Amino acid sequence: MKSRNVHTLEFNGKSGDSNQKRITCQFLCDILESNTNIKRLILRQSTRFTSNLYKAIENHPSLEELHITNMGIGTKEGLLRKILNTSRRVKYLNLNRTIIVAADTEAQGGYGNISVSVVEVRSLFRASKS
Amino acid sequence: MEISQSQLLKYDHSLEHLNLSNTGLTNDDVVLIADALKFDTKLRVLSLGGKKGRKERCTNEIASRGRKALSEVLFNASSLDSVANSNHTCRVDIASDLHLHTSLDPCFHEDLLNILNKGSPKDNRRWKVLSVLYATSGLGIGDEFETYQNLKVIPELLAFVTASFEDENLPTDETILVGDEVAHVNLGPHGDVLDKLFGGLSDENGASSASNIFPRLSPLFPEETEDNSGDELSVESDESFDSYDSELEDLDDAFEEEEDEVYESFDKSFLDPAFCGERARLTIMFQVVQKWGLPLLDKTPPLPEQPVAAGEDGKQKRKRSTSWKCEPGKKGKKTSRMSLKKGSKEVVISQREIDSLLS
Repeated sequence: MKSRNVHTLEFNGKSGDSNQKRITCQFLCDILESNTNIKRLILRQSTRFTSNLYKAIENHPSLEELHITNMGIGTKEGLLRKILNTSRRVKYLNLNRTIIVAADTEAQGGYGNISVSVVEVRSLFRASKS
Repeated sequence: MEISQSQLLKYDHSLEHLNLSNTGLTNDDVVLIADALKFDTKLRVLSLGGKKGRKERCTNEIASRGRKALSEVLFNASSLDSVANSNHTCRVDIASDLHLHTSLDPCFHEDLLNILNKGSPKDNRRWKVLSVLYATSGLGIGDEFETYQNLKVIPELLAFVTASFEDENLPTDETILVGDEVAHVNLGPHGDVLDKLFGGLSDENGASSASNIFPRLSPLFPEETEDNSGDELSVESDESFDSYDSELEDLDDAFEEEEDEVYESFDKSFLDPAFCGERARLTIMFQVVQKWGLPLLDKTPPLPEQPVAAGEDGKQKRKRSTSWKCEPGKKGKKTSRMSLKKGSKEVVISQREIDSLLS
């Protein structure tokens, strides 16, 4: 993927074929890996959030703003937590209308039964105590 | 999801904005978040809004329990310490139809949560402290400050009051202004409270000094201007004190009459970013001086009227009506006694008297 001087990467997903979304997600990963200047990542609506994408975000050197909106994201491996723990540069996190789905619920197939876990969120603030 | 406490503690973050709107949060979730906010000093904006009518699964259902948890973290008004230790950094955006319930209701605006922490952390803290002092008409400092009734605090306050009366014509070798004298008074444990109130001003030795604290507050009284018109003798005047008393009375009335114009104006000042104006400063002085400072003035009977000294040119020099004087104590002690002269009235307080008052 050719590197460009891009500061904002925005992707509006839509419901549909899961495989198609997975391919799209891989495409996003490639863009993130090859464009290290991206500061703002906006993902909307049914973007497939694979572990590869988590890793791409986690390892990205410049991301400061994350907008993950109108989606369901799993906490299967504490990936969100990992991102925010390792990617210290993230200053702006927008999870509007995004359901953080507990692992077991996700395993049961989507987030029909919503089980919100804010453990991840709570953990974000703990450091300043120490 | 089980995450051990040690894991939680090791996390660090740079988050300044967190938007959790419409994420299906419940009271339990908000309580957890509020608990985390107790120790956080980085997060500046937390959005928890969510309008009904959207997808049901996304609406944040935050009822009174969650709101109470948040309010207690952002503004725990149970004591001055708890106010000072509240989170002054994070602004919480929450749906406007949600109301805050604090122990100070109904003095506070229902949507207080939406207006808390709008300024800098320092201003937010000061805003809250002043709000408590104001809303409780001074009672907020009552019980807590009983343990801090160290008269060393009072000279600092009064030094601030009299600071604007500094007159270059007065012989400085005989008069030591209290402001200078107490400038390096170590307030010990009381300094912590003042630090919390006025912004962590301890020096490296842990001492809080008047010179650190009170320059932040502008002079309570306006500077007296020289009246050089004509040959008439300028007469000593208690104008400034009268003005001060008048202001206090105005505020006192305002506390009782909620519809009073001063009250409304004062109330608005809390919503004004420039709330640290004269009136707010006056209020905190009012609260403290009224409690301890004014009784000192009635401690001793007034002295006979002192003649006004005439200048070399035959004109009587204008003499300030109020002066503070500190006489140096023995070696190793900063002050043996202090006196306050207001017109013909002079009050002398010795260190022994101070000690006896304290006991």
